[in-house]
Amino acid sequence: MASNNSNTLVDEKLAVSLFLDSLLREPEVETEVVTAEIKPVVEVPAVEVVAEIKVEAKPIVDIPVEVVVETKVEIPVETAVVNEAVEKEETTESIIPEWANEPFQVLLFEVAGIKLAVPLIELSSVIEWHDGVTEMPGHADFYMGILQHLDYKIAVIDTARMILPTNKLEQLIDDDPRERVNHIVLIDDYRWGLACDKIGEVITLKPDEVRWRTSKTSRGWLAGTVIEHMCALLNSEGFSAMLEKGQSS
Amino acid sequence: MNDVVDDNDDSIIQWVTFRLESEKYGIKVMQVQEVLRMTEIAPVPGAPHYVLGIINLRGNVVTVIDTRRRFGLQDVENDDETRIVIVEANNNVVGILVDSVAEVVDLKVSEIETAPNVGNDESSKYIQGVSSRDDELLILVDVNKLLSDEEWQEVASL
Repeated sequence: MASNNSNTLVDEKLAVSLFLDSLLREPEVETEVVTAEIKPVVEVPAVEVVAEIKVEAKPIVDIPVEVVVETKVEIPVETAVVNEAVEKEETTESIIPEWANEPFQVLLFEVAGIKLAVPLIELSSVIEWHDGVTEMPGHADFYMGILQHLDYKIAVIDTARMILPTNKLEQLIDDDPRERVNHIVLIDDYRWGLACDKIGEVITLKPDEVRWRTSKTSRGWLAGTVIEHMCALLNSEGFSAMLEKGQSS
Repeated sequence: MNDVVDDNDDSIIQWVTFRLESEKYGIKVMQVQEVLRMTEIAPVPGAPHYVLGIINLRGNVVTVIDTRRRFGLQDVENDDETRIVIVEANNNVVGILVDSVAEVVDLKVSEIETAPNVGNDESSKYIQGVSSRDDELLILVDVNKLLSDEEWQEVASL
């Protein structure tokens, strides 16, 4: 029995580690695009459009009218292709926030079985979940409603629905977040409230403990992953930007 | 929020409040013609999903909109509290079905705030703002924007 439990524990750790790793990776399609050979000059044949319109007016005067329009369009693409290549090369560097140049503290919390960490420098407050969240109609399913706290009206987000990749959202089909969450993590100067299942401890991280994301990663909410604590580090600024655009992961 | 911005003095606007699910909503009293108890609603074949049907209001045919469906809420059985609020919106007279009608409240323009939004949320553009009242948040609805222009035309043609 003991060895079975031990195997399970190792499997779970491995699964979490693989998941965290996958957060920093992009779908293979995008990788292929980056490594594809790019030719500096592409020739595009000129496009020729010929339109022919004939109008006949019969009842009073019989005047045949014939109009022929010829349009030639040439599209130079050389510059665009070269610029695109340069941009793709630039997007592979790690993005390390300024506050992470020295050790920093983070608050750990859990969402749908995933451990997240928010840097204290980006944390406004943490409050307990209560029924005072007003549901708003006609919004995305990750928008839980508005919470009045102090003088703020805070948009509360179901963090799990925001960050889980599409293939893992199935586990939330019958999920009622109001029964799951018990705390709200407030970020971006009390603008957004991230509903979470469990609040953990505050720990100190060294910059080199974090595998920082690169700008190649499309997950704007992610600053990086911390394998030692099996958690994903939040990028509050990126999270806010996604919410402003109404995007989920 | 256009209506709120337009009213740049701190005048008082009266709102009829109603409940749907656990939240309280408000619509401008000037747009409300009357409030009816639940009556027989005749379904209209081929009508859009947000249209419950039509009622005969003193000889006039009035289309009734299912506000729950419009707001993305689940259907519930009607009960003694269910009401049809007859409103005038976009040159149409329509009924909106609500769980119950609460009261008429006075709100200063300065007491109305923009609701925090996620993205553009086109589908929630009918939310005009929110206001804190009795430890509760009142969601203010612009009835004119409850349906899109095309949908209002569709309703008018039923």
